[in-house]
Amino acid sequence: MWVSLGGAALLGIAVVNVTLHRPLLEMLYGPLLLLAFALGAFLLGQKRDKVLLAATFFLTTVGFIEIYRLKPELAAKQLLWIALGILVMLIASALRSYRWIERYKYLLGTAGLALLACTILFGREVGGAKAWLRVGIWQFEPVEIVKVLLVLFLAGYLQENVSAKPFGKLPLSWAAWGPVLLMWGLSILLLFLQRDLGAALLLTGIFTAMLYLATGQGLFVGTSIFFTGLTVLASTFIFAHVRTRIAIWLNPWDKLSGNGYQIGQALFALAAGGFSGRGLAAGDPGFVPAAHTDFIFVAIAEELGLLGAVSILAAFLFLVARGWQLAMEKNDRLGFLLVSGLVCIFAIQALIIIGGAIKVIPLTGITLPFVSYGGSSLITNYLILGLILGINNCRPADQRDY
Amino acid sequence: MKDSLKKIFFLFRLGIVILILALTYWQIIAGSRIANLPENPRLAKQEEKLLRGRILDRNGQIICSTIDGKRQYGGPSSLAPLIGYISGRQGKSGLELFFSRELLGQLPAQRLINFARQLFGKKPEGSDVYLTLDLHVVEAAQRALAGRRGAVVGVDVRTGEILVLATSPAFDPNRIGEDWRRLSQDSSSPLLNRPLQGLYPPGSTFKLITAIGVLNWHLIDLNERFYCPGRIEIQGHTIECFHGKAHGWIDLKEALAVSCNVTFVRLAERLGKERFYETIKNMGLDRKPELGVPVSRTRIPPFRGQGSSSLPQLAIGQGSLLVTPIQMAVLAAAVADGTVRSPYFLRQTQAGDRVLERGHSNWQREVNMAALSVLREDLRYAVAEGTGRAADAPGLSVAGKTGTADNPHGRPHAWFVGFAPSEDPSLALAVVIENAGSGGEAAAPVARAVFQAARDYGYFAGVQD
Repeated sequence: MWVSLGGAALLGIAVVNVTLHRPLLEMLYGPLLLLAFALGAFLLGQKRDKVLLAATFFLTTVGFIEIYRLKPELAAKQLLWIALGILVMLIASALRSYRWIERYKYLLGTAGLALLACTILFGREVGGAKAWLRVGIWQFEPVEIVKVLLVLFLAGYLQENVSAKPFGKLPLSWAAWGPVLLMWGLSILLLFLQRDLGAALLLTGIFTAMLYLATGQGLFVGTSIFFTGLTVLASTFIFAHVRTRIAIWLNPWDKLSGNGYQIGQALFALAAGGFSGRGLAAGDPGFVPAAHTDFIFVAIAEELGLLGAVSILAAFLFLVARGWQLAMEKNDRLGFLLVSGLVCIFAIQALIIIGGAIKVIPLTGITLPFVSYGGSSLITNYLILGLILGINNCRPADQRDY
Repeated sequence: MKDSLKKIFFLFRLGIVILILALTYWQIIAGSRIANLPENPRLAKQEEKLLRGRILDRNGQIICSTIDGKRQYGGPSSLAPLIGYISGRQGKSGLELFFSRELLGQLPAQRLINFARQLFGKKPEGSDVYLTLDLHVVEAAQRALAGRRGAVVGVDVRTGEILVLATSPAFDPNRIGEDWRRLSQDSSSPLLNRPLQGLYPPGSTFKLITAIGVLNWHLIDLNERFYCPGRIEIQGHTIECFHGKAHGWIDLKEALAVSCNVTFVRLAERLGKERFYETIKNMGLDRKPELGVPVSRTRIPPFRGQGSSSLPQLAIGQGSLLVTPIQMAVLAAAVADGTVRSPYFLRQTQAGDRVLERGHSNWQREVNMAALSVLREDLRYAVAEGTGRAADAPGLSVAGKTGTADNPHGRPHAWFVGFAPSEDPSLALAVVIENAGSGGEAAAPVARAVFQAARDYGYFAGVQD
C-alpha cells in the first residue's frame, strides 16, 4: 500500500511541475515505468517475498526516472543493467542449498582479497579512487563483489568458530581470530591503498555488525568503533585527502569554489527542494557533481522534495526491516548470519552515502543501492537480493541450532 | 544472536530518524537561507530565464531596462552610483541589488502572474520599480553641478519621498566592466554616492540646531540683540566671523542672515551642550536613514571625553562633526514641515499597469513647535536679504541657510540647506560642493536651479511666476 501511496504522491508532484516544462508525452514515461515495475513486482512476487521486491523495485524505478531525467543518454544502459540484475536475482533466488558457503568459505574469502589486490595492481583511477577493474570491454568495481564475498566468508567462518554454548564465545586463539583479523586488516589496507574510503567504511561496518551478530558481545562493537576511530585519526595525519574530507565536512562554506564544491552544491540542491520539491525535471540537480551516481539521493531530494527523500528512506527502512525479519525466521545459524549479514550491506551502505551526501557524516563516495546509476552496483545488489530470497526459501543448512 | 539483530535494527532506525531530521533542517529550516546564498548557481540561472524588471522615475521615464538580454542604463549619469549596476565581474550594487526581489519577480502577486504567463508559454517577468525621483529635476541638478565634485539631494517635506538626487562626478554604468580599474583608482571617487555616503563638516548650516534649541526652550527674546565685535574668545578657542567682519548689534534673524559666528557661539553657550545634543537627537540627525543602499552614518562626536568637540566648535558646525547631505535634507524637511521623516526611494512596484506595492516612510516623529514657524521666517529672510540671496528664485520664496565649511582638504566646502516655498513648504534641499568656497556663492545658485526645475515640473502647486 505504501508503494502505491508513495507512487501517487510522486506522480502528483511530478505532473504538476512537469506540466510547465516538458512535452505531454514525456510526462507519461514516469507513470508508465512505475506501472511496469509494479506489474513486475506483482508477477515476480508470486513465489517470492513481495515486500522485498516492492521496496527494491520502488527504489530502482525512482532511481531510473531520475537518471533518465539527468542523463537521458545513460538510460538505455541503466535499463540493461536493471534487466541483467533482475535476471541475476532470479537465478540466485533459485538457490537450493547453502551448505556450500560454509564449505568454501576460505575460497570465497581469498577470492575477495584477490579481487581487491588485482584492483590495486591493474586498477584504473576514476574520481580519485583506484576502484575500477577492466576485463575485456567490461569495467567493474570489484569492491561490489567483495562485499558479498566478505559476508559469505564471515557467515561461514563465524558459524563454525563461535561456540554455541555458552553463546557467543569466540575462542581466544590465533586459529580462531587470525582469519577474521587478517581479512579485516587486509581489506582495510587495500582500500586505503585504493583511496576508496566509502568502501573501507562499508567493509568495516559489515565486519563489526557480523561479529556482533555472531557473538552478541558489545565489546566487539566498542573495539571496532575504537579502532575505526583510531584509523581515521591516524589517516588524517598520513593522508592529505582524508584531512580535506574532514575539513570539508566540518565547514564547507568557505571552500565552496574549491574542495567543498560538491557538498556545497548538494546542500544548495537540498535547499532548493524544500518540502514538496521543485518537480521532476524542473530542478537543477545537474549542478551537483555525480548527481546520477553517488549523489542521486540529493537529486531526488531537490526534485521531489522532503516528501520524495523521506519516501526513499522509508523504502530502505521497509527493505531492511523485512530482510531482518526473514533472518529472524531462520532457525539455523548459518542461514541467520547470511540473511542478516547480506541485509546489513544495504543498511550500512544507504546510511553511509545518504549521511555523507547531506553532511551528517564526512562524505565517502559509494553508490546508493538500487537507486544510483551503475552496472556493478545494480547487478551486485540484485544478486544480494536474490541470495536473500533464495536462502529464505531453502531448508536449514544443518541441524545445529543455537 | 537475535537480540543483537534487534539492537542493530534499533541503531538503523535511529540512523534513519537522524537522516530525516537532517533533511528537514537542510530543506525546510535552513532552506531559504542557503538557497539565497550568492554562490547558489540556481539564482543566476533563474535570472536568465526571466525578463528583469525595469527601473523608472516617478513619471515612468526609463532609468534602466533589459534589452536583448543586456541591461541598459539610460538615466542621467549622476544617478549611476545610486542605481548601481549588474556586471559579471563586479556583481550587483545599488538599487539594482536592493530591489532584487521586486526586479526578479519574487513578490507573491508577481509570482502568480508569472505562473499564468508560463501556462500560456510566455516568459516570466520581474516587476517594474518606480522610484520617487523625477529625472527632469535630477538632470537640472546635474547641469547645475557642472562637473564639480558635490551632491544635491531633495526630499518632499510632506511625504519623505526623495525627489531629486545627483552626485558628481559619476560614471557610465554601461561601461562598468571596461572602466572599473580607472574608476576604482580615481582620486575624485566617482563610485561614491556623495548625497548618501559623502561625509562633510556641516559648517554654518548647523546653526539651525542652535537656533531650534534656543527657540524651543525659550532661551531668547525675539527682539533681543547681541553684540558682535567680529571675534570671540571662548573655552580656549578664538572664533571669528567670516573675514573677521564685525556685525555690531544684531538679533537672531539677522544673525542667521549674515551667519554670525559670534552670536551663535553665545547662543550655544546659553543652550548648553546637553540641550544641544538633545536637539540633534530630536531632529533625527543621529538616526541613519535606511535606504537599502550604502548610507554613511553621521559622525557626531561623543558628548564628552576622548574625541569630543567643544560646544563653540559644534555651534558653527566644525570640530570632528561630519554629516551626509541626505541627513541635512531631512533636517531641512523637518524644519519645513514640523515632522522628521525617514526618506525613501520606492514610489511603487508595478506588473504592467497593476500596482503591487507602494513605498512609504519607515518612521516619522512630530517635532512641530512654535519655534519652527519663527525659524522658517528667519530662514526666508536669510535668503531674501542675507547670505543665501543667490538661492532665491523669483516668485518661489526660497528659505534656507548657507554654510562654508572649513576642512583639511583645501578650500571650504560650500553648503546650502533649505526649502521652498517658505509659507507652505513642499521641497527641502541640501546642496554641497566640495572645495568650492563660500556657500552663498557656490552652493546657493545650484539650489536655485533645482528649485526652479522643480517649479517648472509642477512641484509647487499654486505658485506662479
